[in-house]
Amino acid sequence: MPKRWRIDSLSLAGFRGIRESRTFDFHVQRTLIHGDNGTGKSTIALALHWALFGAFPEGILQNVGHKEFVPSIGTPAERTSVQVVLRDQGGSPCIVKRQGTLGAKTRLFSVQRGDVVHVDDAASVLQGVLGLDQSTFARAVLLQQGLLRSFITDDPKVRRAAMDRMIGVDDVTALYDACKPEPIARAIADARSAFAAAEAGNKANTEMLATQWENAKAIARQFGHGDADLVPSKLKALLDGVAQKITDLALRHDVKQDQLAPSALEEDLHTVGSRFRARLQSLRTASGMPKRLAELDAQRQRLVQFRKRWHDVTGECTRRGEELLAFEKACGAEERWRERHTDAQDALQRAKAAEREAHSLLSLLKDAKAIIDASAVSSCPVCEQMAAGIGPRLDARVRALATAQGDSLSRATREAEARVSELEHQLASRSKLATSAEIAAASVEDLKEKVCRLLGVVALTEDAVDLRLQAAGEECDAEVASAKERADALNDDIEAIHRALRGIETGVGGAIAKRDEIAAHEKRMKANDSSVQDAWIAELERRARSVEAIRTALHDARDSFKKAQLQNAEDRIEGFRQRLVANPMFRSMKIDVQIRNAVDDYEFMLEAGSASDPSRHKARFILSDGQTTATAMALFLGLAGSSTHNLDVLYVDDPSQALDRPSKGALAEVLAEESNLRQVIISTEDRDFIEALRNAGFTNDATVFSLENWDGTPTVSVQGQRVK
Amino acid sequence: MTWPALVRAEVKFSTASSVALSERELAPLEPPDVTGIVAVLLANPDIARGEWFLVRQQDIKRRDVERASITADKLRSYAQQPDSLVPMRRHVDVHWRRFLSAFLSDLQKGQDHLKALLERNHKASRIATLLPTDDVLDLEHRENLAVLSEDPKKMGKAVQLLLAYVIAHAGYRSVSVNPTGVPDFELSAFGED
Repeated sequence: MPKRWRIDSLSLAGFRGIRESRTFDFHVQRTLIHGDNGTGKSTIALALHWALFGAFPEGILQNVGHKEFVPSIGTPAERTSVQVVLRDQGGSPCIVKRQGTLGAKTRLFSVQRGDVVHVDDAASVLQGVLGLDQSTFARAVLLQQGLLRSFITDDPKVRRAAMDRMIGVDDVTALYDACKPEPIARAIADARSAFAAAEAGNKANTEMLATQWENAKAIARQFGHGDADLVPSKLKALLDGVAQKITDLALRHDVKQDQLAPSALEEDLHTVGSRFRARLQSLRTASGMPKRLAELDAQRQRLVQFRKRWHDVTGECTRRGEELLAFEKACGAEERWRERHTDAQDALQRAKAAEREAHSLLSLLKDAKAIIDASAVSSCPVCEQMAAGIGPRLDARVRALATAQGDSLSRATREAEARVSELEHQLASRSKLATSAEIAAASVEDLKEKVCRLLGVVALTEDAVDLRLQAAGEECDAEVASAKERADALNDDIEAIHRALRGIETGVGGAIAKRDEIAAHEKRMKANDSSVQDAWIAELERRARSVEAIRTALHDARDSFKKAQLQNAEDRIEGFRQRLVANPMFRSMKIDVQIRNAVDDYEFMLEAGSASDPSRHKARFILSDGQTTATAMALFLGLAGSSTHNLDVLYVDDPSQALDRPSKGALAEVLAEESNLRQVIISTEDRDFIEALRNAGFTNDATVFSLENWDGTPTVSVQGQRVK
Repeated sequence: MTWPALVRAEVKFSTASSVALSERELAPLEPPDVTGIVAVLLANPDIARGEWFLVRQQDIKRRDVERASITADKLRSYAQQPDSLVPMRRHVDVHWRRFLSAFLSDLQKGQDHLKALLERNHKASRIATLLPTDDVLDLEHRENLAVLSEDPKKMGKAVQLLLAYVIAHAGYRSVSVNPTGVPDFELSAFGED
């Protein structure tokens, strides 16, 4: 037999209408809380609900904005605190305390036999102890007008939700509503069309890749690679083959190089190609071929230039010698020319002397003539001849000397001078020729020495120079040809390796890249092939069937539970209805459960007329608002009484709204009777109802709390005595 | 699961969507002394992907034999059974493509050439060295099968020979191929040196 729990006390602080700390010790059977509106009556009911569940029933209070809703005005959320002490028949307590509002500061302690149960477990422990959840609490313990009003609405959805909640199948209904087959059916249809689209796309891709694969193979064939080469392992073998060719080439050309690292499968083909090309470049440089060829070419150029120069220099030397010889042949030998020059100079001296003498004589004669003419001498003092005869003769002689004879002497002198000048000019020309010949000969000697140095010999005869230069040139030509041949061979080999690399990169590499693409495509195809798709569709269909089965099971379970609940409570509901609703016209009330559009709808049907001529009427169309409320209350009380849980409490918050005096009286009597069976706590502001409760004997031994003078916290009196 | 000691097989190669079997062909495959398998290769890209369907003789329904027609779907369903042939099916799935790729050109040269080649290399345990190390693409396998499909009658015998050595490659030392009678081949001496 499970323990039956009653509420021993409720302490709250900072909770909605009660800011300061207040504790309410409840009577073991009956408690009445009264006070005007806004004095904190409903706060106590809400505090009880919140302490036990940390939330409020859906449809009754908002579960959003707790921070604004729960704490008292001006109270920090973390100071909100509610503690409920529950006690079983044996007197053992269970203390539930909730502090803060939301988040990490919310704390829940369940203390049983001194053990403090951790917050996470407290809720489930508490649920286990009391045997009820929040939903059951709202439909079987805490009666609130807000819930009752939902029964009388015209909106079938609201009616249905309220009734489901009242009967306790709202969770099942929520599950039933959640188990919809349509989304799965849509998912199946979507999957089918997606698979069909994917298949079409895959087929097109497959065909396209097949064409590209053929093209890739054709390109590879252009580079001499067959289909067997177009696989990754063969690619490595091909690259290793190229590496070996490079190594062999280096050996053939006496180039020492480090071992070329073989390609690795994971190495990028482009990287391998670059590595190999760099090695080929360094091999070409290290082979010395270009340098050797340049050297030989320079040597060959030097030899050609030397030989040409030799020809030029020796030709010049020969020409100069021949010119000198020709000069000498024409003009005689040098000694002879010098003799002639001496003779000419002598002749010139003589001519000049004769001319000077003639001038002296002429001067003398002129002087003599002048003396004679001036002195008037009769005879010549020299020859003592008579002056008279001398004068004319002197004149004749002077004229002769001054004219023909003088001219002749001058001409002889000029001719002698010209002769000397001519000879001197010819001598200078000869000297120049001789000098040129000497310079040419010296150049020949100088060049000969250079040739000796170039050819690496000590000495050479002049005749041997050209021959040796020619021979060296021919030797160099042969060497150049040979080196060029070797360089060409190296270049050919390197070019062949380059071609092979290009073939591997473009042909094989391209095909293998395409191969990888095809492999990835095929992998995707396999992952999405028809068997996988069929399995996926089959799984979805299986789930659809499961959902349908669950839905049917939920529906059946809900239906049978509902029927059982209503059947169990039927007499109690009718009993309460007849006491609470004074309407002599209707014999009884039935609750019809009708299915409309696959959704249950509840209808309160009143039965009138005689048993032989019955008539049925929808209560919400017939009854007044107050009667409907009373009917709904009968329903609540009937169903609450048939609920099974361990909280032996009925908490009725402001139940008399919209009720007339007779109904209030009836309700007071019903509640007074209920309080004989379990703990009943009633809160109300309705003085008529308080009076009715008093008349019904409810307050005889009840604890009566009066709430008044609210100023953030009400003043609380118990049995008229103010308490703190 | 272990490999059977003695395997007898009836091999069917067709470009159609189904194959016919007769009682005469199934009789030599009767258990329990032997593990009899019916091996079917459908070289029809619309029906299958060129994989072998290996079915235990005892799983073949009599009515299928009487109808003289076993469809690809039925073969596929048989071949998906979690029976004693699972390791063999897995082995054939892994190696069949590689064998066909490796020996297609030999297969085209004629059955005698292929038989000699396979016999020689199987005896010397060198078959593995002849197989490609790279995966064979579906595309390549389809191309290879297309070659087989060009002359199914001629290729049929070579295909059964090739399958015999594919299975033998798992460890059967003795391979006995019977190109004219039933069964098509027999394998034994599993795991012997």
